[in-house]
Amino acid sequence: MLDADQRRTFAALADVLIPASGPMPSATAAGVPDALLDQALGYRPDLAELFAEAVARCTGKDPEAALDTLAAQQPEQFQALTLLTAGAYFLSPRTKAALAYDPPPRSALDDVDSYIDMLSTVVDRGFAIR
Amino acid sequence: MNTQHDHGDADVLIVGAGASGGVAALELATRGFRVVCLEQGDWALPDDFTGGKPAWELTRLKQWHPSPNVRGRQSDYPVGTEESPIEPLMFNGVGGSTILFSGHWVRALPSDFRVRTLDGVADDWPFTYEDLRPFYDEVTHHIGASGLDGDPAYPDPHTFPLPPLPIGKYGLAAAKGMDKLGWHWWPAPNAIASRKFKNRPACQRYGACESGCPTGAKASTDFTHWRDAIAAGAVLVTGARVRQLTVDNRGLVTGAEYVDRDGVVRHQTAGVTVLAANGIGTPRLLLNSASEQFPDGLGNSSGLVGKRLMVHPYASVYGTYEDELETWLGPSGQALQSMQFYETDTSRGFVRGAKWNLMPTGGPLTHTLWEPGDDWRAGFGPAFHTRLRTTFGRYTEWGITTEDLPEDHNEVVLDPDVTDSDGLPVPRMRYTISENTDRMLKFHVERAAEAHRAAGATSVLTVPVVRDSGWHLLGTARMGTDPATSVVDEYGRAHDVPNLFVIDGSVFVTSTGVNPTATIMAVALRAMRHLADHRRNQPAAD
Repeated sequence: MLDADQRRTFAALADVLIPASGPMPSATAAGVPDALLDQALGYRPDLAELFAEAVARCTGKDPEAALDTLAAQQPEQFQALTLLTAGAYFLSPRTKAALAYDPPPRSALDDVDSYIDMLSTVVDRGFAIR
Repeated sequence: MNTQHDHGDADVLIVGAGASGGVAALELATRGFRVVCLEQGDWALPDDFTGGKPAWELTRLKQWHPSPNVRGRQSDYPVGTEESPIEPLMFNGVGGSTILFSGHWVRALPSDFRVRTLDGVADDWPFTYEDLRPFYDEVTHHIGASGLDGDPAYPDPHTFPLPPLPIGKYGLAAAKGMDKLGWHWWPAPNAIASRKFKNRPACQRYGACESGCPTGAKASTDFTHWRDAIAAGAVLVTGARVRQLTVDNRGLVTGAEYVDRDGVVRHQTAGVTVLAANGIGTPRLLLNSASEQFPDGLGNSSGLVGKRLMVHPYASVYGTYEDELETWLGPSGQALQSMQFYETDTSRGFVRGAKWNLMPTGGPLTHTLWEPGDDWRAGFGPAFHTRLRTTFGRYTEWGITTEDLPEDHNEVVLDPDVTDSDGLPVPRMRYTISENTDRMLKFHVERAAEAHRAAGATSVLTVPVVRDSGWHLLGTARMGTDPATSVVDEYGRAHDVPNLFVIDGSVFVTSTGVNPTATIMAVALRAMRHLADHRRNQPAAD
């Protein structure tokens, strides 16, 4: 579990990684540094140590410059940081609403009618079987 | 359903509960054999998988990753890959790698069995497509594959028990592109139920096939074979890692020594032993079963155990489309396949060819992954949203499965220094991509990029060799008629040990250029039916 200082550092990093854009919220507006990060870490406890190291390494530094250094010098930590940030972001109800897509489940309805005419052309072209 | 207790003597011991092991268990148990199977993993039920749940996109990269080296479960064993550009992918559990496979249910073509005759390379198989055809038919109808009859790439209009899965918007876009070019395509056959079939419900298009089907629609052998095999009397022992096969003074295999879940070493006695542990696990066991009688490994007088490893080097060619094509929808699974460049045309600079599959590209997180060496500003910062807008739902893959030819220097060996959690030597892959395959990859990548552009793609990204693509582990105990140049005969019986059988992908003579599960299961069925039909003449250990 992160303490308040760690969360503040992470929030600043997260908003550099995922700023707001049009209907899409920023990482903090989506709730990433709060419960969603904990949820993501719950799914990937193997990344907790790398993530904590990444945050510690960036503490007290300009977020963007710190990310530059982290990506160059500690790629495993940077990878854990970005994966958890994006992973938490897509857990957010605000993000899902802004993405406006209709996720599965969906019935596997037959769509042969949409291409059957094209298939007859494929059959007519034939195939040289050896 | 499974047991950790004593199981008594077996007529047949099967090592591995995957694709071929399931076929063997069902065939033999229903023919009256006392069957015991030792499986190092456990059952995985649909509720265990995370597809369709919030955890999916994060856990598929670790807990349900297809590489045992990433997953690192207790049931997994590490595989050394420092000398390979391709990672081996597999799952250790009931159903084996069918738990995580994408379900591409593709028959080999007739030419695949006659490579030496037609193209002057590698070797012919000891049987033909026509010999195998009835077993393809039987397995296809048994497992409930979905597809459309009449693909002109095949000499027969082989049938499917279920209609094809939807090709979706992205499939239709790709089909139109292929039609513009006049290239072959067909709605793809999948080992995924498009309608309720036996004990499996219909696909719900989660697109999570490669991290375990949360619906239970995929034809993994835990559903298609094991439940019926157990009902017919087969005993399946999970959490049982075989460390070596044992032999008697007549040179017959007497069963296997294994480590149970509590770390206790036990022995399972059997009259006949069948290895179904995949193209890495099987040679690992044979090599680790060296003895005074078999100093180079069991069944290895040819020296070919572990040699001739083939893995189908795989390329991905991604197209980005302006239109929303719902490319997060499954199955994954394949929407289309193409055999346009499957057969040899020497003017291309190589022999043999590759099969293409059109696939979706998953949920949003997939599109935002950063890899070491990438410029982080290309995918994060303001670019995060730009990339997401242009790819999520608008990004499809033509995947290219190339036929690599057998070469002795591509091999599985035992690591002399590294062991797994039970103290068994870890297998190592030594694999290089041949010049023929390299040329094949380049040619196909260029053609697939053409296909995307013809379909209207606004940009194309190519991954010439995908490292995490070694699903197809083939050739490491090849079949043949000559004991000097093959490990097993056409029915999987070891030339050196008449009561030892190998029935997994290890027996492939060449790799074919298609996803091998249909062929593995058809070959296994042919072998086990032959064993059952000729049981009176089958030598067995006492």
